[in-house]
Amino acid sequence: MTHVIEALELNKRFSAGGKSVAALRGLSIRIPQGGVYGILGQNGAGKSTLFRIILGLLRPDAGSVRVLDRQPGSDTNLCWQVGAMIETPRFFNFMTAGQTLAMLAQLRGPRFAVSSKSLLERVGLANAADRKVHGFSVGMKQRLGIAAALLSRPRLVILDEPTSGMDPIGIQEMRHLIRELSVKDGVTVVLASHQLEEVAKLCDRVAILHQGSLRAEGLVAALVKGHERLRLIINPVEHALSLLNERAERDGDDSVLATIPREDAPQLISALVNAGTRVFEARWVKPSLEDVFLSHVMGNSGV
Amino acid sequence: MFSRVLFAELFKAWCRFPLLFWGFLFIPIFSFAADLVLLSHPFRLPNAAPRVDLLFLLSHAMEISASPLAQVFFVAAAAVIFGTEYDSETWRLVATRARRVHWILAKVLLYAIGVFCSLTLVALGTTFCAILDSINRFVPLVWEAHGGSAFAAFAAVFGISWLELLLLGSVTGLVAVATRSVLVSAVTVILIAFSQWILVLLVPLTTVARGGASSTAILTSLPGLAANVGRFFITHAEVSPGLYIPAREAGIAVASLWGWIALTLALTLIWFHRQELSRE
Repeated sequence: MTHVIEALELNKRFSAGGKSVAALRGLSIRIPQGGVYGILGQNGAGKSTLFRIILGLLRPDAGSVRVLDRQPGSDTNLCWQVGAMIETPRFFNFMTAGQTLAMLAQLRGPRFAVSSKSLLERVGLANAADRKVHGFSVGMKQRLGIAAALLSRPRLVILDEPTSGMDPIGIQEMRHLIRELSVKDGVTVVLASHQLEEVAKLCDRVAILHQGSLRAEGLVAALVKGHERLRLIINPVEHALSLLNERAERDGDDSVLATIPREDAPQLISALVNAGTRVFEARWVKPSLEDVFLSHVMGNSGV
Repeated sequence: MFSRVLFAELFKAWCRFPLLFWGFLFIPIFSFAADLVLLSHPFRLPNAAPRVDLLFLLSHAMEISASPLAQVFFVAAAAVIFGTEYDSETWRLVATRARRVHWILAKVLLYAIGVFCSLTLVALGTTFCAILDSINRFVPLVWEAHGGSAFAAFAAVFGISWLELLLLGSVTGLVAVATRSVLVSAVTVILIAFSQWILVLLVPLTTVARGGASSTAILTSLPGLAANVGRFFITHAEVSPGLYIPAREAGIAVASLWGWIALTLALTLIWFHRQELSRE
């Protein structure tokens, strides 16, 4: 598998208020080419720091990173192959949306850049081309940020909270655009988002970061599947709880959630029945991505 | 690639008229207006010279680069040029699209072009007023230099003033990059410029004209004085009766200006190249 980003043992510390705070702790991550890759994490998990290192805005204290097989920050060709929108996009308030894109297109070389007009149409800002960015809402700035990221026809697009501040229709449009980028244009999209439902709908693979290190990584379907639990509606529940010890927890008056491998289910049910427990229902419960995320970052067993 | 970054900087400045006006147009307009007021002043006529010496007037006009009032506007322009990306948090938008060194060099060049245009406008305004004065008073307009070409002398004076303002801009750039702030850099450099202006007033030019080690030390440590020395030498002006600036001192003065510019620019480039843009 070809990887667009390969980060190895990244460490980064910042000093805040006289204290040294670790933003990344030995983070290693490999992001494959193609598709939409989600990076999940709480605030301060290290997502933005990772993105800034990938873009060459920051240097890691230790470790290495390669983006499209090049070292970020030292290769000028790389900057055109990576489009990015980091945190809340910022623009020159004295410029219009059209002027902003024209200036950025000039940096790329107008021959190679996508036309500003078509980009603004694509992100739904065609009518705001001549408006000063100063008067833009957060959602409009997000759209302009995405247009700026796509300007140089990049192979890799990094989007930090791309739907933040958008209304539901805007979110849907953005989801459609990101999918289109990935499927139609063959661009690898790496996005960070707190909207886990959106990530589940958009991403093929995700990585979960917590306190600067990688907690889980893989296909969304595989991660979710790995957290499936068996819900048993039984009477009495105490017997099942004592039988399963820490592998089960009460989920209501007559219900238990068991964390067991799928192949152990028949044996468990048989044991419960043999012990005199009345089993009314046994069903595998598929957790949401949010449940998986919470289980990794909070050690939450309530998946 | 550098040309594209420079064009982007020029485009940004073009979209920002207040920067162009207050930074580079206000001083020439103010200077021109002041010249017109002085020309029309009735008290000026009795003491007026029997001729209008254009080179003298232009050389005098170029001393605007040493005026602390004018320097406030040029420092403000430089602070905005170098500090905008920090204040608007837009390095994240542009820094990844070109080499960092190119950004700083483009900003230096933009400021240098702005100062060049500004001084050119001052010179044009002065020339216009000189011609007007000559016509108005029916006196000859002369254009001659002591022992050489008047144009070369004017170009040299212009160059010295340009270097003086360029140094001011590069110091502002260094402070803006170091402090990541337009306001802090502007206030800091205005205070530095004002302090230097006072020091230049306190150091008599005769100390420099007499030469020696102390003169070298003074010239290298006070770029404002170095610019004055350069202008005095080029216009062959007397420091005190019969005392002129020696060529050696003038050479040290120009070298000092270049040295300071090179030093501040190098520091800015190194600082920005190593600067972490985790926040702007």
